[in-house]
Amino acid sequence: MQTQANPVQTPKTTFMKLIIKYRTIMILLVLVVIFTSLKPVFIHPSNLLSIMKNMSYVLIAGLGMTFIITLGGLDLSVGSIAAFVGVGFAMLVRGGLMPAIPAGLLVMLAALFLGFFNGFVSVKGKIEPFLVTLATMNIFRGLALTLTTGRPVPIVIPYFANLFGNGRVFGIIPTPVIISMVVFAVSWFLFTHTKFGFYVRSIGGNPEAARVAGIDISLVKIAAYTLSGLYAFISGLILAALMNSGLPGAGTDLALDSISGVILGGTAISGGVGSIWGTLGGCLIIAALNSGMALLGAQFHVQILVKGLVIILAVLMDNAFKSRQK
Amino acid sequence: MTLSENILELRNISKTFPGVVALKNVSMEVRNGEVHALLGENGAGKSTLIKILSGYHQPDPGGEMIVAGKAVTYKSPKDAIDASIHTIYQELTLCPDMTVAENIVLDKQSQFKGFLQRKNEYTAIAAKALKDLGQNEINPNWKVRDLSIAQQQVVEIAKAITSNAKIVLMDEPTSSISQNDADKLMDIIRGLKAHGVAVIYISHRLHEIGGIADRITVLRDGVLVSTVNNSDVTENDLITMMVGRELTNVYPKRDVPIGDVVLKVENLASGEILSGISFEVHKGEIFGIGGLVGSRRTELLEALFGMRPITEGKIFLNAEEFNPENPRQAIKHKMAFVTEDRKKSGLVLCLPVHENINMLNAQKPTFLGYLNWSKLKESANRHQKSLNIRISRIEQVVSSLSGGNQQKVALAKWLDFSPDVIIFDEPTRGIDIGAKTEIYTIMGDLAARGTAIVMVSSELPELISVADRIMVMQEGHMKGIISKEDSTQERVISLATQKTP
Repeated sequence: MQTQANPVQTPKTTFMKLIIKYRTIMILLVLVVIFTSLKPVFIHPSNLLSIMKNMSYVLIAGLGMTFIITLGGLDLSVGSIAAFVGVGFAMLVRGGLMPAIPAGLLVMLAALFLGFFNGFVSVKGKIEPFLVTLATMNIFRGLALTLTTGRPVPIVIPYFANLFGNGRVFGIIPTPVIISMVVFAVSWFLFTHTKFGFYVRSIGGNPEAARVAGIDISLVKIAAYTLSGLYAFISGLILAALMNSGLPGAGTDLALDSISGVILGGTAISGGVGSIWGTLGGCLIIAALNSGMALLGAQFHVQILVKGLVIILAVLMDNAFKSRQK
Repeated sequence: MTLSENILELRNISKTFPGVVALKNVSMEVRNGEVHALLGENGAGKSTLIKILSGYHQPDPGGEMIVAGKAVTYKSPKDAIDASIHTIYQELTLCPDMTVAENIVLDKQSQFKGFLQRKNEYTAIAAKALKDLGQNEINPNWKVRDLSIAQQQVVEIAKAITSNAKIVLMDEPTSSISQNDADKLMDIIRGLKAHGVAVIYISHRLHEIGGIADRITVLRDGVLVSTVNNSDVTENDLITMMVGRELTNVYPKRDVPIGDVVLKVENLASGEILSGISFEVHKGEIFGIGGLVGSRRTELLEALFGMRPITEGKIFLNAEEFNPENPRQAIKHKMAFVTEDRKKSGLVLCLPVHENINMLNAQKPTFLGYLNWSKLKESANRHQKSLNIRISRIEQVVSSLSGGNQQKVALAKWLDFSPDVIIFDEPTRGIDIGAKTEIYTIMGDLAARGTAIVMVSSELPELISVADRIMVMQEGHMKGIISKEDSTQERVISLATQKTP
């Protein structure tokens, strides 16, 4: 028995490891193969582009959420911030109060402030971010509803819908896809190649060690929630442009859908371990499921059910991955 | 049952983890009602053996475990408890918000019929068990949260005996309790023995084992060295068996010229925790701080590093007054802190080696916060080589390293910014003897470069051999400073234990 001091890795275990490591992309590939074989139109470029367009605002919120979850936190308020952004922008330009660009900047500052508020209250008040953002989810939504008395506000700028929603670059690629890909690239850089990303991972992995190493935990946390506000702003612009109006009820599923995407992408809910690429994969899985099932004629209700099942499956694979690492 | 009958027999127990053989063909017996000590350096295989006995690990096929004459195979910790082996872990596993009685009956719910709780029965069972242990002062209706660590241990023991445990495993039970409580624990163990319960006792503290054990089994590198009668051996014999060589080269000596004062502490106090502490540390000096558990040495270090408010007194760094409010400020003043618990506060376990080593480097200002990882990896590689950190890749996750290598990573992150003062809290806790020697060598090198070193240590031989001077603390006060020439273990212990008049 003791002669076998170093058990060799069999091809089988290596294969399992690979599957588990690339589980997000595997699930995605399996879905693509299944849907394509059932409905060949699934793989058609126009359908793929529409998948990416439909997920763009979820992906953007999810990219912000990747920072937050890696930090060991949660932001349930992004959907409400997105709604506030759409409503605020629509109201500012409708009344002729402001030209579009200053209005946009003002709304962006407001979104940054709402994110900052989440972080500040959580850090300074020493309250779990889950609780803070559960509260602000209601507060910000209430704000949007109060401002509009619950009614949609049309956006009176003609080029807005084209710029952020239904327009196409070169007549092919929907603008939300371009925007989300730019945000994706910037997020990837921020997460993997800057101090901020490194601090986020360190704090999420072990806040006490980060503190002893001189990292300003409060500052990084507040910055991350402020950033999440910025992501919600971009998400909100796209949502408003797709509807061509500011809807106080927009983005009610945004927080939970983006969290699902992040978790499907292998980011640990316990913090410390996260992946921007994973979030892209996770959001693609959800979008592919929605599109494929719609093509197959499944009702929206069934889509939700399946989405939940896939999340459980992904988390189970995550656990298998962790127990193998031990 | 006679005393010589074996309650537990292990035959050829081995345990292989990927890449490591943790236990090799271990065979031993534990007799009814004896206190059997398990001794060995870290990494010797003690914890693996405990985890096998308590059902957390399954041994490799080929070995045999016999409990009370029956061969057993455990699939889970519950099987071990059913076979009447109870383990009391270093970290206690009670529910803090439940009462003592509720905790004691928690694992016996199948005994109680019906759906409803039977509070009175629970209390009666708990009260009887506590009385059997001679611990009447613990009220069964108290919440566990309000008990001291030592009292919680008693509750764990009560939990074990009320389930008719035949074997109680205790893993370093005295590591976090006071001497007084440890003495009480020894009485309880003698009581268990008198009731015919066998105790397997794991501890590093040789004098404790000498006082309580009937027989001692020594493990080294996963192999059982020998099982001996306590009365047949001396402490030195045991050390030789544990280490496998004479302990001469453990503390490499290095003569370093002592320079000017770097750190000066004047009459420091922190609330009710610390008071009246004054000392100076010079360039190139290793200043040791000794004391018993609860002497608040770590608290002093935290105050120096800005993690605890200073309410009185002054700290001077290079003759400049310095009042740190957080670790960031301490680091700015060129101080470093290698903490006691590397898993809790020294490392980010889920991050790779090179990211942990660069935890401070990464904070240097850069354009737009850009981090050049290939450059940072190079510097991590340099430290990995110079400190001899044994890893397969620099991207390896830190949690997969051994204690000694983890400690080197925790230390490496401070080296690039060449601190004036490095604070070490228990620098060699939980690491094997080879790595210890390496850490001492690194400390000597740092001192030679003119760094002032403050070191808290509970290991007296380490404190005496490594430190140039030793300050002894007791309950947050300083009891005296011993110079190198006068330092003996007896002198440190007498200062650490003498009652304040």
